Amino acid sequence: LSGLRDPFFDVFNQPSPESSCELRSTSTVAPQAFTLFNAEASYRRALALATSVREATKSQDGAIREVFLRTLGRSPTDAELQACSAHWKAMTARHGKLRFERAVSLKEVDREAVEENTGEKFRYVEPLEMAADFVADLAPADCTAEGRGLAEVCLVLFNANEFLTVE
Amino acid sequence: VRQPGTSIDAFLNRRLNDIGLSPAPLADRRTLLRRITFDLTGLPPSPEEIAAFSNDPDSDDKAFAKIVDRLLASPHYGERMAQHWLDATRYADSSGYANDYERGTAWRYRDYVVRSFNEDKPYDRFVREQLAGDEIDPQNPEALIAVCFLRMGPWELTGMEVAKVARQRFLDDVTDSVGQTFLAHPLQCARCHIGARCTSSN
Repeated sequence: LSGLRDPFFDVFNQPSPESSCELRSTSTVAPQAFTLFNAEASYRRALALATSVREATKSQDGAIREVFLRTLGRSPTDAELQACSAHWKAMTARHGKLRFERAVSLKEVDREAVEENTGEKFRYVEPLEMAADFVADLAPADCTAEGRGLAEVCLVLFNANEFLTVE
Repeated sequence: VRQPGTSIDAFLNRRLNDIGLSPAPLADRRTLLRRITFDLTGLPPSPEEIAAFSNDPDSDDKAFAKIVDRLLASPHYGERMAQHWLDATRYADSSGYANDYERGTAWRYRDYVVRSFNEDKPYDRFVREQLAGDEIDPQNPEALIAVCFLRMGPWELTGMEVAKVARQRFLDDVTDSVGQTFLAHPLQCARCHIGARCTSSN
């Protein structure tokens, strides 16, 4: 939307649709790191990867290897495997103590407005067409503590330096 | 100094020699595949694709050429490349300004751009369709979608504005965006001035 741009894209140099952009600017600023680590969008992608990987693998080490393969395209070193296992375990313990509420998705909204020519107030119920067949990303409330724990490991790998390009 | 792989390397090597630097070692196939896949599709390669390329017995050049062909044929290639054009044409899913009404079908134009890249549409046809698709081929839905380019900008019509004035404002926006997108020159000056001597902008 023009007036409400996705802050995630905004911080990564998506141009405003107000004027034509022939070349995106490039920047390296701290808010990018904060966003990639803390944005809900990042964590939702991490949850999706963790869930998909856990369905495809049987052991904990196997799951971590698969996460490495899918994100970085390589196997983890022994040290990386150990560090990730420890992080998964610690995060699972932490997530065991957290509770997440399921978000309610609106199917319609109450609108109040003023007729521009007469000044008359009116209201109507607007059905949200896009909400009708909207499939939401996996949310924390949909996952077990162990799944959310692996998502924390995925999140670390999304933020790995191996995704950086030096030009 | 490394043996030149392509003709560009000869120039790079000469300059590196001049400033006393030696070139970095060649990237391995996994790294190369990640770079080219991010460049052309914006996505990481799958583990299967990495294994296939790493184990390809063909020479580096030949194996790499096959990878580029596969990526150019991927539907994600058009999605990645469309981003550049949609930036230039000011694509948005709403009309901007205070009301910022939803443009619920703007995605049809976005998908038209994606399809155009994936079909390797010649640039002259791509330009013509977006400027005058409705005149050239009025029966063809694809041509009608293409002209949505002309009204991608932020437009707002309120009950307080005289409709004829607003129409002129929208036409000015169309003129200006055609200039910005295709001629690398804003044409806001055309709002008041006529003629080739106009050099001002903004």
